[in-house]
Amino acid sequence: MGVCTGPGTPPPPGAGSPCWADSDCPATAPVCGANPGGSNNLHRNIIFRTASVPKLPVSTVETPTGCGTGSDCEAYQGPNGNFPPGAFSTANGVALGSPQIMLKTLSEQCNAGNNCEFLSIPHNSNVSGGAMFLAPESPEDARVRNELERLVEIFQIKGGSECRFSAQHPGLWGTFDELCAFENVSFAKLGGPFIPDPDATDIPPNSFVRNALKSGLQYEQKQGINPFQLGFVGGTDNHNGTPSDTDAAQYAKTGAHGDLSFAESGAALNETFFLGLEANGGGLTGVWAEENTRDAIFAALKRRETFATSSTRPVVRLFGGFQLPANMCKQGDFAAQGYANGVSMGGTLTGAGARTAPRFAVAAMMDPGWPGHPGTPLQRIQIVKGWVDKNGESHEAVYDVAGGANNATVDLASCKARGPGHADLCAVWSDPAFDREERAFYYARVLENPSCRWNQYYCNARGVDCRKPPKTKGDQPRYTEWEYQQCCGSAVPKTVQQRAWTSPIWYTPNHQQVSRQ
Amino acid sequence: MWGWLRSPAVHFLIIGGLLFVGFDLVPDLHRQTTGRMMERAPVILSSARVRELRSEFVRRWGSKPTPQQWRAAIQQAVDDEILYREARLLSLERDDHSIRRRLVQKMRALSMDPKAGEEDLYREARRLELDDDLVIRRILREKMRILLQQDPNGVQIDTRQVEDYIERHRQQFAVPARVTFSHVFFSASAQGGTPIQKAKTALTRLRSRSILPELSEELSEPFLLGHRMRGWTPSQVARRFGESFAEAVFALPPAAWYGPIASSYGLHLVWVHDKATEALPPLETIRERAVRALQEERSAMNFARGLQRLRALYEIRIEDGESYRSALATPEKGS
Repeated sequence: MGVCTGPGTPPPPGAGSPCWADSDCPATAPVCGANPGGSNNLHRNIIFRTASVPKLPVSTVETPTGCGTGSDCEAYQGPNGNFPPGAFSTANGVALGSPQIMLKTLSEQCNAGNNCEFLSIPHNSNVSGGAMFLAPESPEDARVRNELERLVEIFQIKGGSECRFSAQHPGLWGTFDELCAFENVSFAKLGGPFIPDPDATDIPPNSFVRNALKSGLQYEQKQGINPFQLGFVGGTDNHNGTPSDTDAAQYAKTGAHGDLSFAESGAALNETFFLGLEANGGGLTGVWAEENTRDAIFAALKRRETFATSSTRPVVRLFGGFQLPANMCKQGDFAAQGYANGVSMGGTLTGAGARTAPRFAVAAMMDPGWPGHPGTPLQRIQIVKGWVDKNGESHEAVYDVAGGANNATVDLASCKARGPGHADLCAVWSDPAFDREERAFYYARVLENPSCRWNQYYCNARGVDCRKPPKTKGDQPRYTEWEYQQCCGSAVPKTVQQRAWTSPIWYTPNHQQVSRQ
Repeated sequence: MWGWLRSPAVHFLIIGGLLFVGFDLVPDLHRQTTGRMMERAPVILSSARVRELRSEFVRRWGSKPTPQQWRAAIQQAVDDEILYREARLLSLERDDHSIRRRLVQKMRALSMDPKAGEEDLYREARRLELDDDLVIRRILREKMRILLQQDPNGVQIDTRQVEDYIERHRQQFAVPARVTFSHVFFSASAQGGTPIQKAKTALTRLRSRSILPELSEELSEPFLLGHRMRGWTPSQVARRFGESFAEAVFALPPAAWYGPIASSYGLHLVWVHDKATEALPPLETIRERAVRALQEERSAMNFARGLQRLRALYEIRIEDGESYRSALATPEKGS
């Protein structure tokens, strides 16, 4: 949007320039983006603890997080000249991409009232053009983020933000984890163009949460504070006022952004439309709270005792600790043992007892579904580990800890699950490669067996038969050429493995002194 | 508490409401305005527009409209036009910040003069009649809708009406039933023996030894959500354990072991501690909600009535050949 007259210049290559305001805007005219927060999508969800809130919302005009309305951007190389080309700052030299001014302003206004407390949740970082997780400008910036941004949205209708993998470009986004090829969208930015077969210059690696968690550890190793200590939530962002309406079988009917035109099959099945074929029904957040009250839920969010799902309703719980009993899965009091002998998900283990590797206990239950719509059994639980070595290099590893790869499938015509699976899974696992000197994080990922992606439900409902193009002889098919082409093509998969992610548990070595190189 | 009084929206509503009441209470003025000052041009849906509506419908819903759907689509198009025109008659576009901002933005794109001030741009845009576009039309229709929703006689709601509303919408206000139960669980995926045998053996033991729930956990296999569910509603139980499980548990008499009952996870022996049936909460606790809902109901009625009256002020022509008469269910002009 915005009023641009210059010729369209593609955004400059290079990770994380926060000011590609609009693909139609020349890169030299960042002010032309009129989208609040910039079209790099540096949007945050702000959640307040009580009804006590600032009198007015904090404006993106006064506290920009990206180039856009109100922010006069200037080219910016960063404090140490290390920012990517195309990075911008406000006229007074604050990097755009940082929520620091917004968070500080909100804190001041919030503190002016009584009993006001909030959390800021970055969301949809996969379309942030890499700007969501730029390295902080200063340890102070990092401290503000660590304090106020404790969660990140890891999944929503416009794709997953955990990680990205493509068989055409293995390893390009910092991972060889093939299960990261899940709800990756081919858009680098909100409102940006569709990019066929994007690479890491199109969609920067630091758009993704797992990489941000790793760079958070790297920053902490140097500066003593982790700017990206983020637990996980999932959301819809569908703007329909229908929270938790994430069912794949319903998505094509309910759509997103209250946009009735979505119901036009042309839009829903169009992979180049940002709410089209590559979008999905959205995710959910689970919290482990003492009771179902706003205060208890806020407290759980704040301590990151949360998990996210990619739409379905499995339940998962993770504890970590040096003293966790090895037989926790056999005992009835999983949670009591976890709290008594370790930390819950979202917490931090310190090296005080690090003579041996810490144990991680994880338990999950499948989504039971509802009459006529059974849930999908679980396939496996994985632990994803990220760490930083003594040289400051980051690494990651993924371990299957319960269940495992199987030959379960789904019948495309009926969308019924077939083959083996688990109603529940539980494991106590200890890290075989633990090094007490290395900062690390561990989170659990629970995979369901394959199920139909929403487009398959849609195509089935339209009666599309991939063996019968609409123009073949016989009675006239109910579907159009376009529907046939999109339903039977390979722009997106027909099945997915829905999943859940627990917030990470961090491990910090005992010595807290900052090592500066 | 009275902060809302300062809200411009409230001022808008009050002033709008007064204007509206004014029009209604002064019959002469009303006659005068409709008769002389406000001669209304007919609303015409040209055949081109009708074709467009039809193809829009097909594109959006993937099939041709049924006669009923088609009537509704035509009616919608006519009503949209009427609401827009009435809003213009009342000059609702005046001093509207959203409309002003849009016009300034549009004019800035067209203007040759990069230094032109906002006021000049606004005036120029109005002179060029840039103020008829989809967005402005939507804003004006919405303002007109809000005006029509107001009750010309003011809002009076008494307790009897509130109680009546609650009775008519009992499901919205009732507090759902709740159950607190303990269970002994046998996993479907556990190894060693089928769960049904284990469950039956355990049930016999629980009953014959009169084992209370507090001491039953050691007979159970681990269950991630624990062994006692406190105050769960039917839908909570159904979402996690399944519909048939929920029905069974809510039907159990308290203080005894029953089962096994199947869920998605395996088999459960259940002891119900406590049940509460669905009930309406005390009126004071839901009055505010009910009043708001009742007001909304009345607003919808006011709007429908107001719109009906406005339709009667217009000659409506639909150039759709055959379907002209059947297209609109509204009374003939002037009724």
